[in-house]
Amino acid sequence: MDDQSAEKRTASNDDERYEAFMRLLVEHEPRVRSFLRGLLPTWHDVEEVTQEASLIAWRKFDDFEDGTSFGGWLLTIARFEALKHRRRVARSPLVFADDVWDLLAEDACGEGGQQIRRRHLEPCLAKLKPGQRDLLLHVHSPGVVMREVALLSGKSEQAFYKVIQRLRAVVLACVTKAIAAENAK
Amino acid sequence: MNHSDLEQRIGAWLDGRISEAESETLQQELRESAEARATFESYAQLDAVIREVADTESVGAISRGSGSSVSIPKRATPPYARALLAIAAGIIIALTAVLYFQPMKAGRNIVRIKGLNGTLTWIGDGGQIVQGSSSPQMRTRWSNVLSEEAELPGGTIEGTAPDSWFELEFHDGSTATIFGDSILTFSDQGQKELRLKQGRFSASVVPQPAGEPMLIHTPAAHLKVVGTQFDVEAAPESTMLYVREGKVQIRRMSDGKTVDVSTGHRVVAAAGSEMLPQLVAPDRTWAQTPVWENTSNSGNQNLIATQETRDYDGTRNLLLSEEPASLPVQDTGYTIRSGDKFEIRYVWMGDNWWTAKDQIAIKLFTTDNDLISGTRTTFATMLSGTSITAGTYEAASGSATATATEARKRLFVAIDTQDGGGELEGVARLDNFQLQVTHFPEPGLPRLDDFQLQGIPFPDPPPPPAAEIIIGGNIRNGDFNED
Repeated sequence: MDDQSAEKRTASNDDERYEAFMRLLVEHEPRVRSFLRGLLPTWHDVEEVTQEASLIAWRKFDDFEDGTSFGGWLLTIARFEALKHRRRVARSPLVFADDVWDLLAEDACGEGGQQIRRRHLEPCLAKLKPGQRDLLLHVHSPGVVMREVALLSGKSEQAFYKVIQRLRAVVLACVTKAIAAENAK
Repeated sequence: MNHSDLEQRIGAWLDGRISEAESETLQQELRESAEARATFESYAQLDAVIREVADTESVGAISRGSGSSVSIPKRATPPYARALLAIAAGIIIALTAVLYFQPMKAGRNIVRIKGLNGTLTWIGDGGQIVQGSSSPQMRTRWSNVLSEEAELPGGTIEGTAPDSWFELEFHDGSTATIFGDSILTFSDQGQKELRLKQGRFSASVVPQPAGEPMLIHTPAAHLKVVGTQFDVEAAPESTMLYVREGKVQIRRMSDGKTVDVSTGHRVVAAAGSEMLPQLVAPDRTWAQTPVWENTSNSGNQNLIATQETRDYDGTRNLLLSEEPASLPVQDTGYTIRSGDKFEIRYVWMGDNWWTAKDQIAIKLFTTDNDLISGTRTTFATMLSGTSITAGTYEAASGSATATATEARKRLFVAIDTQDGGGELEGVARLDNFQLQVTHFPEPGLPRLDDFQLQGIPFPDPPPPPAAEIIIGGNIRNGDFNED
């Protein structure tokens, strides 16, 4: 085998490795975001740590043992990255104490709880009135500051937040029901 | 643990607006309860998945506004997802373009009803008259026309009861709300035009297209709005404009005089008036208000406490809300004696979203440790009664007598509200609050007559009972009685 063929084969192997990694990442990334959301103060932090964890996972992909759980491995990386990130975040009411943080991380890593997926959410969003669905999605859209939307809404901030919280509660009840029905099958 | 409170706190954390105190409470709940942690995790997961959906949908929205190519969000989107998003965005752009270039049809819906209350009449642009009510007992065959989330074409909406209100939203997000007996005509043929025949409305207007400001007509003035928040009150001879944010141009009908009114200013357009914008003093928070404290669950001292807008006598007034986020309380420093007669008086007015059944509730209470933070025991609640004339100040008063149970304890007073309409969104204003006490002999203790009957000399008889002001005038008024 000449050098050129060996190079091509290596390149081809790299492509396959990258594709395999991307397939696994796409499958497990939503779970990582959900996991991190309960540990980090803002969605921006979640985005940052998810990116960092994905990069580290790619760099260490050679260490990942085939046949073991990629999701569990990725969550472990994400948890350590979240911990590192948390140390850099200034103290605020949004940053929980160490013991609370550990409890939440332990619970979220466990397999016992329900896992909300996009497929559970979309039918529940469709059950809302169109205006309610749009409002809920709008306030969760990238770059949207909820306080500014509240001010523009004409309602008082507190009334506005209550409306959003009511919508969340309705959707969560619907999603929980959908997951229970799915598990019962 | 109250589940609803827990959910509110989780929501506040997710929205990044949780206070230090709420965060402490939430963390304690999470420490102690696996159930609370499960609830927290569910909401966190839900938040993440909603953001995932919103993120995808917002790609289309970005291209829709600018007409430019699709903006890819900052995060590393997997290649297959990018392709799907590009296809989805393409479809949205195409649909948007089709809708955009469709000629405007007469009778198309231009606003969405965001909320309503009381009895209302809507006259559509085809002359169709619709009477509606938010009350389930008064539902008509038009209830589906005048209901929340329903869409309407241009027309006229009329509030036909003092506690009526109606909030509409144009498709660009600008909102307008009328209150009480008000008549508002609205249209949007590329440029929004509103006509307030009478009454009061508030509006929040997003920036309007260049050269097409929102136009508002009242009997006494014309207003030109580019993008702002403001309140208007129209009477046959005059129009009051208060600009909360931005700038509004107002032209008086009688002589064409035009002035620009900017943030925090108020002007009255009436024949013969100077029509000079007056600076309205800025709102003050609880933190800036002496003596009174917001003791609601939120404990938020940065909410608005007093305002000069919609005043009673040219001074600031106390802003009251039915929402649980606000509960003004004062530690009067007064030690109660048995037999004390407490009398209160004040003026008040129901404002936005205040229903005909809501009332002010003045509560006198003591606490188990004489501190404002102690466990409360309310010994008197004095209600204002319901409003007689909506939108105008009216007087209220009440009295209560302390017994031996309250004696030797510190007196606290709360200015609360009592909901009667089922919605905790009402706002009211209160001014010139006064609390006075008159000391009467404690029942059962010897009185002057008793000493005389027993033949015991009483050389220096006490003076007859006299009222002592605890709150009122310049005493412990919290800057809203006379300032």
